[in-house]
Amino acid sequence: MEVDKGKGEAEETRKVAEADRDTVTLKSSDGKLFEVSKEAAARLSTVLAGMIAGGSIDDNGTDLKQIGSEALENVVDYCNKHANSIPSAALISSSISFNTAPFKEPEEWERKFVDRLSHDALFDLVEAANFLGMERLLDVTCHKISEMMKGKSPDQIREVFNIKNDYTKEELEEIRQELAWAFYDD
Amino acid sequence: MKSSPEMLKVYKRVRSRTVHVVPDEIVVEILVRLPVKALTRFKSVSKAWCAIISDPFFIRLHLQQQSAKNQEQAPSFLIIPHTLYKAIDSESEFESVYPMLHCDGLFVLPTDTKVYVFNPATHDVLKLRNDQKDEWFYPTVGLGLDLLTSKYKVARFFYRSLNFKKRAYSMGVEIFTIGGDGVDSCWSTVEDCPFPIFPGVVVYFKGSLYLRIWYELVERPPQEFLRFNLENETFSLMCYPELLQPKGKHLDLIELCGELCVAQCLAEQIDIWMLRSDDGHEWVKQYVIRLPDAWNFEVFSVMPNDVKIIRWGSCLYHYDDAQKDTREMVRLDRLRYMNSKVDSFDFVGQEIFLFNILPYVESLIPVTKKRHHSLAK
Repeated sequence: MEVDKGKGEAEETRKVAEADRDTVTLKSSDGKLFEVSKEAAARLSTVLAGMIAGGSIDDNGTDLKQIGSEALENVVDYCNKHANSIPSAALISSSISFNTAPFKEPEEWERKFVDRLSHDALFDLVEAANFLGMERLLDVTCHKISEMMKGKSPDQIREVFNIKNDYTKEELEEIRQELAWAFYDD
Repeated sequence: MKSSPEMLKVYKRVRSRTVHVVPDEIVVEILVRLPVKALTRFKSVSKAWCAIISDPFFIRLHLQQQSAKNQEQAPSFLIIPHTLYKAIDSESEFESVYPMLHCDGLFVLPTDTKVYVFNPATHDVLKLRNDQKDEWFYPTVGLGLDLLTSKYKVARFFYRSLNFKKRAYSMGVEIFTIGGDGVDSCWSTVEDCPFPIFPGVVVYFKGSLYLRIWYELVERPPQEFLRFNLENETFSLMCYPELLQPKGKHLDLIELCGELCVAQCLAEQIDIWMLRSDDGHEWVKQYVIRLPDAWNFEVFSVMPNDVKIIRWGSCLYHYDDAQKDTREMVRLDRLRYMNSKVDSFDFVGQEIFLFNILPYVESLIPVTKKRHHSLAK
């Protein structure tokens, strides 16, 4: 991946060696190292972009103590796939700009990317995306989880999200009665 | 949707190795993508989830997400079949209904007796008190958001008296604020309307209601629309597009692609002018629809690929200008509806004589106070 050399040279000399590298090295909580294209990392993650611009990238591996190796591998995998994907017609169409916040459906490859993940891996990836400020990856993973939740019962949801039911039996019955229509099948 | 118990069991076992709680900010990111029915059900997951789902900020975020989804993918509509007095019996609360208006998932349904505001997604219905002093006829009822207070207001424009021959009339305006404190929960009268309003035509757009002037009642009518600002409850005039043919009949105000538009029907085409908010608030001729019998059609929606959805009677059509293609999309009278009583799909039946169809976005916005909300605290 070609980096913007012009910009790199214009910067102060202190980080010359680093600015010339095309990749950054990231270190997971369990000490594993991953390389990712600097361009993709800066474009897809606001946190990594900030670290690159601020020169706080470590050549020997930037510590990401909050992210496990499996999740970080998925993050890096996503960045690489994203760099290689061709944006769909919908993303590049220059139709008039709408007023609402942009909400783009997952692309086909993004769907496949999250579909192969286990529940665990998916939830870890959501948190990694959130921590690294990766808006698009957060969109795609949250979309996948919300798809899995449709049609599920509150009991199943508590199990998936590890939530304790803090309603009394009577309170729960009151809600079920008031909102009975929402408990029928979708 | 796969939801096999085995999968969940395996998941639980693996999870329980490290007790893991998904942070609230991510829970919000996930929930905001769910439909209203699932969210309503998930209020019973825990008190914390109920509090998130009932939070006004979350409700607004969810609405934005749903609106964007409608514009990005497929628009959604609410279809209201009407029978001819068939369903109305002696115990019915009203005998006839006036045109409905949609705003943010809420509908206002004016009838000859009361005005109703309801949210079909949450099954929430508010019956507005009918305590106005004046007799009212030729009513026009609008619904919209007061951008300052973030409260929804119902505005009722009506004639106290009307003499068509003498061009003499007296118009009144009343406002009802939804979810206001006790003081507001009745109709309040505001300044009289400066022009006679053409009954039944009203559009909500970004904090204001847009109305048409009833030209036949004015000697020298201005070529302008009337705008009623819901925040300060005052009227102002809004110019037509300059290039519009003067005295064009059939001027319709519509919202397309999140912008205010005027559709003018000429002999064999419909011109659509858009008030481009990103373009210095200029009227721009955005689309032209060319059809032999253009005057029969009503423009409904524009899809992201510039395909228009147009309506004639009980039929919706795709109109693709680039492909010179007009084709039938759906016949409302041949739609089948889920009949929950018998748990199967039914045709609407023979007695239907017209269909109302309105653009619709699902939302969680409440119109009444809910009992279960107090449980979440």
